[in-house]
Amino acid sequence: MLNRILKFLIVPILLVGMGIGVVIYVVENPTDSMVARMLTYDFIISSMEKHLLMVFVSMLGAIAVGVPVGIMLSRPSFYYVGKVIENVVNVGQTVPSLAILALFFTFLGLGFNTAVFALWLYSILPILRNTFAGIMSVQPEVVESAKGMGMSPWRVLSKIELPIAYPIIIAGIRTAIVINVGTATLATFIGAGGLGDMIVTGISVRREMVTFTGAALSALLAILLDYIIGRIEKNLVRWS
Amino acid sequence: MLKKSGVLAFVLVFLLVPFLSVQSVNADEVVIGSKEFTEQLILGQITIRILEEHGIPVRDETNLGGTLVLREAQEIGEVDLCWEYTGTALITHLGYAEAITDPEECYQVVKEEDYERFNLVWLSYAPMNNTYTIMMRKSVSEEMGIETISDLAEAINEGREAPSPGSWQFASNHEYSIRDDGYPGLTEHYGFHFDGVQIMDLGITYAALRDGDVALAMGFATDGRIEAFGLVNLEDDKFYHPVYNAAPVIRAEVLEQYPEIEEILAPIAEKLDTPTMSRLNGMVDIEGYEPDEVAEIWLQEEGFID
Repeated sequence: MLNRILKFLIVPILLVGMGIGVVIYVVENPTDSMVARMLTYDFIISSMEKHLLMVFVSMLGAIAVGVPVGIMLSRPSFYYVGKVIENVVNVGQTVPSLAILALFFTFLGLGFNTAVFALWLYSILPILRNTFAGIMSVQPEVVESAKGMGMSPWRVLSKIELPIAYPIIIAGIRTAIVINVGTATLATFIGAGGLGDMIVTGISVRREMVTFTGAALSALLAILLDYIIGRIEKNLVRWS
Repeated sequence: MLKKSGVLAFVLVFLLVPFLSVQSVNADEVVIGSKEFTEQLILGQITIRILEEHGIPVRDETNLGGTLVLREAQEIGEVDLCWEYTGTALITHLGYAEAITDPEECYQVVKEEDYERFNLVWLSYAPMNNTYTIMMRKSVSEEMGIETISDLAEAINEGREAPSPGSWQFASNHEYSIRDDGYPGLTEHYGFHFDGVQIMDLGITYAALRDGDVALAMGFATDGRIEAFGLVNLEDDKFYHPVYNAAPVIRAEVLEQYPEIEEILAPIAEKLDTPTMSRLNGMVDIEGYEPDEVAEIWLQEEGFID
């Protein structure tokens, strides 16, 4: 058991270690006074906090909506509604994320709430789609025989369909979270802060070290969250 | 065998496409570039129109991604001529950490160093000063009697009640939030602190201020929206912000080929002062003219073209 936890922790520790290494290096070795002013421990930590908060709030909301709606749409009585919504969702995903942020900025104003709302909307799509697709991929024969054994629709869902669709649903959540971490860097344009502050500021004053710090932390964060969710699916939480 | 050579021909054509397209470009054309905001688009169009008037072939590559993209394009020779600001070149392109506040001195330093290091020639600069400005809503400014940044510093230090959103929140774009001649030096120079700084895209600081999402915002002094949105520039009474005079910057080889460009653009630059530039910007941002229409109208008004 201990061995398994250790094996699970080794990659996250490595990633977090890399992140801390990058932060310490850039804060201690700024290339000039401008870089030094921006890259302080306080600023980096508060950017990271804002970024994480945006990602977590929007992801929790997206899972809370995407999975149930996906399940609902997979019910036979909703089949055609499901098909329509699936296509709408597919088209919705093609709208550039910056456009979504800009669009909601005009309605909802500035800052954190707007960013979370836009990220939430953008993250629902892959989760909903994968939930729907995962359940639809269950062989009809399997469902039929479960029914034949006298299972209620609820039991068919919880004992047959969801366990089979589970890896696909999780894959949707992983896709969503990676997109979400990256898209959250754009929230800086509407005053919501996060790691994007560093990326865009660095570009605008041509200080690569600042951009690099923001980009590296964002990338490490995406890899870390993706890994953790993947591991949770494989090792820790099994559908019983 | 035939199939194989067909594939080979196909690949060859693809490899050759970039070269073919490069050759189709007229080497004598002067490529005019600009950044992505209104003032730059207008300056670019003015330049294009006036050079065409004098029979110089030009190509329109205005509206590039921003300061950085434009500069890289010019350094590698994809753009020949564009308008740049002295302060921006000094800090961003030449990597100076300290700003120079005297317009002439700043221009001379930039002119000399940009020629030596990048072979770029700065032609004579315009009096227009697109410097940073600190803005407030006009109604608030009148109500609280705040006209200068010193007044503002005093109000904040005395703990007077902030207007909407209820605290002294300051909207800044990314660049201003970090530059030595930006927000960090401003608060030091005037001796006060904002309650918070919200970093956002430059284009939305004006609207954020108008809508009361922030109490104060930075912007560019020549922007037409300041007037249109009922905002007011606070006077920089302790002369903190350096000047940002715009000047045409041209690659030395191109200037050798068309030496008359210097003579053509000098009188134009001379006419472009701050009120003129804000008026032209306002024509695009508020009245809805296209930058090329504004260029045409202004050049006619001033008698540069018929």
